[in-house]
Amino acid sequence: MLLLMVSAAGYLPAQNPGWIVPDDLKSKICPVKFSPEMVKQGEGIYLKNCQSCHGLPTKQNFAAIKPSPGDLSEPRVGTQKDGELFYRISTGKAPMPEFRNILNEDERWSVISFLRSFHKGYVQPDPGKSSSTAGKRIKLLMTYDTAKKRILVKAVELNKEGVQPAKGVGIVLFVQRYFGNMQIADPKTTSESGYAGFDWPRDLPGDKTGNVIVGARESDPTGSMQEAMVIDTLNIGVPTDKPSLTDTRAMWSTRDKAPVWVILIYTLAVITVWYFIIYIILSVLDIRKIKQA
Amino acid sequence: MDENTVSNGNEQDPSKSSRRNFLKNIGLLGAGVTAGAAALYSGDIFEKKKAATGESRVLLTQDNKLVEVDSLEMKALATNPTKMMLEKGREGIPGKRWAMVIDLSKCRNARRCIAACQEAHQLKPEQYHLNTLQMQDNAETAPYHMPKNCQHCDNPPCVAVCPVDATYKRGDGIVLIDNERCIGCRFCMAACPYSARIFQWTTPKDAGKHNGEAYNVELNVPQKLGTISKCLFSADRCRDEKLPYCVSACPNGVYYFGDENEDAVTNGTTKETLRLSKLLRDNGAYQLMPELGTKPRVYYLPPKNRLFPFEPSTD
Repeated sequence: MLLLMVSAAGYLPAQNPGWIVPDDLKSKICPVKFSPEMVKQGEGIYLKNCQSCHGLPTKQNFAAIKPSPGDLSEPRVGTQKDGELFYRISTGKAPMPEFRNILNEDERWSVISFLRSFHKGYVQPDPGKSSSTAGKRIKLLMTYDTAKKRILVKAVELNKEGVQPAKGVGIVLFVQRYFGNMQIADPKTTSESGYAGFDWPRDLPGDKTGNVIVGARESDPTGSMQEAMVIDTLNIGVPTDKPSLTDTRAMWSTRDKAPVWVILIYTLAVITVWYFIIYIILSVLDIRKIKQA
Repeated sequence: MDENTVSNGNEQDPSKSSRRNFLKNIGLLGAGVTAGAAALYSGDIFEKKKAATGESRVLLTQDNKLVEVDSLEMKALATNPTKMMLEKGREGIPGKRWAMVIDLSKCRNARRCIAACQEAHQLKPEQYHLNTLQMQDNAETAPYHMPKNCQHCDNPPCVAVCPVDATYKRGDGIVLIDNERCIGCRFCMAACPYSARIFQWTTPKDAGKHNGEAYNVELNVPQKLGTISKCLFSADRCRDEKLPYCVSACPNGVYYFGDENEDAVTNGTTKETLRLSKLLRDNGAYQLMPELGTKPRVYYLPPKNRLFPFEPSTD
C-alpha cells in the first residue's frame, strides 16, 4: 500500500490524502447568482469532464472504479458547502484530476450550479455577503543567489503601515515551457522575514544562451485569479542548442542529406553505366568507319 | 522492293553530307543560343540596375520593420494556399524535438482520443491514426489497454523507402506525408513495423463537402483517395502552442506531450508540466520495439498499479 502511494505520488499532482478542506476555504461562495444559462454551461462542462467517471446525476451510472466516484446528486454531496465542492473540484484526489488548471473559476462554479440543480432544498448563499479571503495585498520579489545556486522569493505585504515582510505565504516556483508552466520543487512557505528559498535544478535546459523564464506565484489551492505573481528572465539554465533532427546525413533523408557513401556509390554506378553506353556507341561508329574504309 | 533498294542507294551519299550538315547546324544553334542567352541575361541585369521609376511605398515587413519599396519592384506573392502550406509544413518548428509519453496505468479505453483524432483528420470510424489496443502479453499477465499511434521515429523506415519524397521527417521530429506527391505505392505501410499507416482505399469521409479545399499538409486534410494517412502529432496544433487533439481530449490523464529539448512534457488532462527525464526515469518508461533501431519519439509508462479495472472493448 505504501509502495502504491509512493509510486502514485511520482506522477500524480500533490494531493491532500484526506481531502480535508481548509476552514477558510469552506466558506468561499460563488460571486454571482446561479442562473439557468450558468446551469446549461455547467452541464456541457460536466458532460465533457466529469461524466466519464461520475455518470449522469440521478442515473447511478458512475464508473465501477475504486474509490467509487459515486453519483453526485446524492445528499453526501448535496450537504456539502459550495466552498467545499469548489475546493474538491479544484484540487482533485487520485484518480480524480485537479481541475484548477483545466477549468477556470467561472467554469468550476457553473459545474457546481449544474450539480446544485439536483440537490433538493439547496439555497444559494447571497453572493453579496461574500467573505472574501483575499484581503491582503501581497507582492513578490525574486532574486537569484549565484553562489548558492538558489532562488530567493521575498513576499511583502502592502498595508496602511507601509511595506512589511509577509510571513507564512505559500510560494510556488515555476519555469515557462512551451505548453505551460512547470513547477520546480515543492511549494514553500515564507519565513519570518518573508523569504522562501528554492534550490535551483542545475541540469534544467534553457534556450541557446541559457535564458530561462522563471516565475514565482502565491500558492492558492483553488487557483484564484487574484494571487500575486512575479516573472523574470534569468540566465541560469543549461544553454541548449541541439541541431535539427534533419541536420545529420541519414539513409532516410533527402538527396542533399544522403550518406556520403551512398552518393559516391551511386555516382560511380551512373558513371560506369554511361561509360559502357558511350563505349558501345563509339565502337559502333568505329565499325561503320572500318566498313566504309 | 526495287524502289526500296534504289532509295537506299540514293540515301547512301546524302546521309554522309547530312550528318556533317547536322553537326554544323548543331554547332550554329549552340552558338546562337549562347549568344541569345547572354544578351537576355545582360538585358535583365540592366533592367535591375535601372533606377525604379514608380512611386515609393512604405511597407511593414514580417519582422515588424518599416521599409520603403518602389512600387515597380513590388511583386505579389504566390497565393496558392496549398503550396504555401506545403512549404511551411516541410520546415519543423526550430529548436523543438517533440516527445509523447503514454501512461498505460491510466488508460481505461475511454476512446476520446480516437474520436478527437478522427474528427480533426476527417477519418471514418474504422480508420485509425491512433487506436487503443487490448493487450495481454500471456495468459498469466493482466490485460491492459494500449493507445498506439505513429511513433515518429528518428530513424524512420517509412521515409527511407518512399520513392517520391512524399513522406518526410522534419527537424522537430514529426514525420509527415505530402499527399500532393504520394503515388499510393504503400511501400511505407509495408516498411512501418508499428502498422501506424492507413491507406484510403475508398472515397474519404465527406469527400464531397471538402472538395476543392486547400490541402493542409500539417493536418493531412482533405483526405485523398488512393493516398496514405497517419498520425501527425497534430503538427498544426504544435505550431499554435496547443497540445495535440488526442492529448487534450483524454479525460484520464494518459497522455503527456512536450519538447525533449526543454525536458518538459505537459499532461493533456491536468495541464500539469513535468520534467520528461524524471518522468521516464522514475516510472520505468519503455519504447515499442526499440531493437529495430527505429528510435521512436513515443514513450510508454508500464501498466503498473492501474487506476481502472480492465473492461474489454465493446466495439
